[in-house]
Amino acid sequence: MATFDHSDTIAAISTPPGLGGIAVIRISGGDSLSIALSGLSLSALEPRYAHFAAVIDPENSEKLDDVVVTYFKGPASYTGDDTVEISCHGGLSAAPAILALYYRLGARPALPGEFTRRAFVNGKMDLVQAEAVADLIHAVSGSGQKIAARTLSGSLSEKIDSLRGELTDIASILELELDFSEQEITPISRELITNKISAAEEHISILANSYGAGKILREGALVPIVGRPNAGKSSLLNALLEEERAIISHIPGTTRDSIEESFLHQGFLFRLVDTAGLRDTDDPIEKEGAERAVRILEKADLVLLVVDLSLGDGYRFEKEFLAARAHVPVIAVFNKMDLSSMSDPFPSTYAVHISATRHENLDALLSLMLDCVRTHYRVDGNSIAITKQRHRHALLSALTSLGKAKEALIRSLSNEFISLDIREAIRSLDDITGKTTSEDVLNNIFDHFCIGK
Amino acid sequence: MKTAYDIVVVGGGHAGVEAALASARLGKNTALVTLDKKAIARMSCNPSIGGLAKGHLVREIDVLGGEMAKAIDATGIQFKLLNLSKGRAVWAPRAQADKRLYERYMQDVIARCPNLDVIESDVQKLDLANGIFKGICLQDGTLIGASACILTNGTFLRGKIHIGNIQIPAGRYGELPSIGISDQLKDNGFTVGRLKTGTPSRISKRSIDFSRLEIQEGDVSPKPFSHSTRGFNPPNVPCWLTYTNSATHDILRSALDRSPLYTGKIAGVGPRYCPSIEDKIVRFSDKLSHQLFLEPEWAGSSQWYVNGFSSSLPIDIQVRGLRSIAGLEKAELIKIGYAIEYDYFPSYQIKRSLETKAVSGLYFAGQINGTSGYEEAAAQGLMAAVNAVRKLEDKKPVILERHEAYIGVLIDDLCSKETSEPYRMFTSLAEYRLLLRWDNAHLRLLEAAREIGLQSPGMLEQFETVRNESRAIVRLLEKTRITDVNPLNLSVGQSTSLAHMIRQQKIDEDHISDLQKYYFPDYLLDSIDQAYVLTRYEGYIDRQFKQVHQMHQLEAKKIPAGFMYEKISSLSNEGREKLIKFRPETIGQASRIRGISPADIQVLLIFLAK
Repeated sequence: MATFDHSDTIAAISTPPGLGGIAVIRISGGDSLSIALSGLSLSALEPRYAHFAAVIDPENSEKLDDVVVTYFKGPASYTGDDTVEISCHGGLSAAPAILALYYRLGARPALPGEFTRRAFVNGKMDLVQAEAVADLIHAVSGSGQKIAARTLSGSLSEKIDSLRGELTDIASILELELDFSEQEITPISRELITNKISAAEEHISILANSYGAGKILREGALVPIVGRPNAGKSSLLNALLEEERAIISHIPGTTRDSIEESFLHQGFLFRLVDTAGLRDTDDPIEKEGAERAVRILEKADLVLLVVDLSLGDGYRFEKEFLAARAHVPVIAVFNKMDLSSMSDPFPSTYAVHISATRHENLDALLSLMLDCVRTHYRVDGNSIAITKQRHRHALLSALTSLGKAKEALIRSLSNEFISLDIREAIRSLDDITGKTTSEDVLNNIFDHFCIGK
Repeated sequence: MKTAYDIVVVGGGHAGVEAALASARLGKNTALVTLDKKAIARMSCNPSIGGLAKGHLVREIDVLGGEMAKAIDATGIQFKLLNLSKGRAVWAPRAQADKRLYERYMQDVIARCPNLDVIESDVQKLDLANGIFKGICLQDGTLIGASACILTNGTFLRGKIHIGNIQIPAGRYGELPSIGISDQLKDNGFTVGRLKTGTPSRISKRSIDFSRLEIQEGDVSPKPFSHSTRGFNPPNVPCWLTYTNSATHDILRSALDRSPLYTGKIAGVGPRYCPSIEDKIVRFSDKLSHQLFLEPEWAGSSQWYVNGFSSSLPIDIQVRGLRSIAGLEKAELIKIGYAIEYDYFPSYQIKRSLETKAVSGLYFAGQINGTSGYEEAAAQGLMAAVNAVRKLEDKKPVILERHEAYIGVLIDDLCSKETSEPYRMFTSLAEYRLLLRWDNAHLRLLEAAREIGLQSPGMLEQFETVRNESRAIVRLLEKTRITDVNPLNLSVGQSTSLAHMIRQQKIDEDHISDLQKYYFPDYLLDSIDQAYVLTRYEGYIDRQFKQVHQMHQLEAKKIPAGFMYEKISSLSNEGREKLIKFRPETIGQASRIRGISPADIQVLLIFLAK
């Protein structure tokens, strides 16, 4: 079960979710300073001073964001433990990316109310405040469930239960041969157990990967608009924004100087980014723009490739672009249909003819965008997706445990060792739903096997 | 007859025997009150001790200074180490007992034990004043004063035997039940429940056609249960195997309308791990045959136990059913199988010391707590007496933790789980199973054994030597190099450490005595064995210790006895209800109660931190 362990270093985004200009990530616990520094461009932090720094992933040296960092040495901090607060750019991708990095670097996701609990335990709050927090813990999990029910048709916990059931079945087979070995039991082949674990692995990773879909539900789909100069990228952007009145805001994107424009279409948030100058060039200014575009494309959920139909040339750039982007859906937007009656100049999985300046056929483009996102990320109304990093984290640790179980099977270890891994995986799932029922395995055995002399 | 004791033990079964011996050996004037002296330590059901998880319990009882392991070593007629194909943690010793010798052995130990009197009588009533135990009142009206009482009534509290449509008030077949105490405790606020268990028929040896059965023998070089046993050379009497068939099932099925299980006469809940034969054919109707073990009740016994054929069907059906089975065509019944219902007190009413929450000085051990099994009973009897004695001496109770002992798991489960059927020990109930091995009980429980004071100084010293030596050998195994030329005749390749060879499984169980011979001649074989296990399973053992460490904070966090859950509005309703019912002693325990959510635990932690 999920428990408070005081010795851990915990991290979470401590500003409210949404579209604020700044997000604050709080890291607290004994190792917070060293963990924070391992992802920063600095080698030391002076307590209670604001430092300007870059967050850099030490694995690939990629810069995630420019930030302001403040170190609060315990007990002079909110929790009373050493705490580092990182203020990064708000919006929808910088903060989660930084948080994910720090989970990799050794912090664990904070449980609801955990910062406050630490504050209380360290004598930073009085009982009345603590009671308010206690109420909040229930209130938060309550509203969390409601949110889940609304966006995910309430079936996440059912899904977790069914995954848990799969694992309980595996544990039961393993335990059966341990606790009832004196009795006539048909031994179950290790191959079958391996297959069952693989099946469970697949089901869990589908759910873990649905974090992408969950992310799209929560953060919207990032849609770069690419194309050769004068293909009509800006016109398309403006046309879409004019067509869909529900413009939310201008949000600074991950790379600060490219601008995202967002709009809601049928409940989905699309975040459009106009990428300039995507082509090989030696011009240093254009080169920087091109590099930026490449970075955005790496994060894209869907790409709009704007093609000027009136050119009628070989469309080499477009063909090469399509060939290089197999992992993300690309819609070929054949623009300027008013100037040319040419049919598709090259084949593409998704294609639509429009005129951006005349607002022709934009409906078709919008519904195609919606279809693409729905089918590619399985975010139709019925599919189950997770939206919380904490859930993803739990599912990934379940997968790690199952991996260990398979390794133990390969090493021909006895059932009790494999069972340890399976039970660990079950516990990880229980962290999501908050269940604690250790007798389930035995109950399952009694229900399905004839046991007893 | 004396009328004042320090401690009275009511009941002479496996819990009562351990309780009475522990109390007397710890220097307390002790009375063991039983309905029948000659039935002390009787095995009411199967003639065996140990088995999976149960064998672990017996080893722990032995290390802590109990008697069960010595008794079975002295009187067993077949010994077997189970699960040898699996890892060390789930190996478990099991023995067929000579029931008569076992009883006699225990009765003899009790007769010779100083400070211990046996009183043959029924307890009419307990003398309770304001929630404090004062004494007991015997059948003839005699009052016996005592500072503490351990109730180990087994199946005798309002016991009722069912055979077909017949019901007989009884504690065991042919033995009277005990009536008074249940009602009195109920009046004193205890909740009483009803459980059911059963036992199969015994048949005459002469009537068995052994030529049609499969033989099952014990180990050729058996290992004793007790560390104190020397010169162990027990008999190896075989058991025999046969199977039910569709004809058997038809016969049993034809009489379900006369089964008290299916006509609603039995209200108590029976154990799912030990179902009656009629229950098996109803619940698993697709299974066309069930395994039966024929076991002698003592060496040269004329009376054989039909393991797997527990039944409460009418006598004619049981006989016809048996006679449809290969080898039993001419079976003659000596004792009929039956179901028995009895009162128990759901175990959330006791503390981990086994003292009842409602009455100071009153302890429950064994089936009265809803458990089943000789070993489970003996473990509780031992711990109840130890803690009753310690209370008289103003010492803190000895509470074994879940990572220290199966006894710890058993008692913690009793205090934090709701028993809906008789509780039996399983290895899968121990989350730190890899630490709770059969082979290391003496190392796990060394400190506890020393604290309790029942184990002999000589044995304690030996345990400590093994612990120290095994730690030293673990280091030596890492340091000692082995090359292609080696006394174990192993192909090594590049020079490496012995530890590496163990982890690679190139040095295995079979090499342990060679390790002693060629590498560690100055060390005890047991120490080398322990070092081998620690090295072989190092990674997994470390993982388990890490899990223990993670839970430690919660296990160590005590909840004050009178904690006012009622006042904490932020607890969930179900959580609050369960917490009031169970009154867990620690947060760790609270976290194991079904219905208490992690959020409830977090709320509790917040309130306890002040």
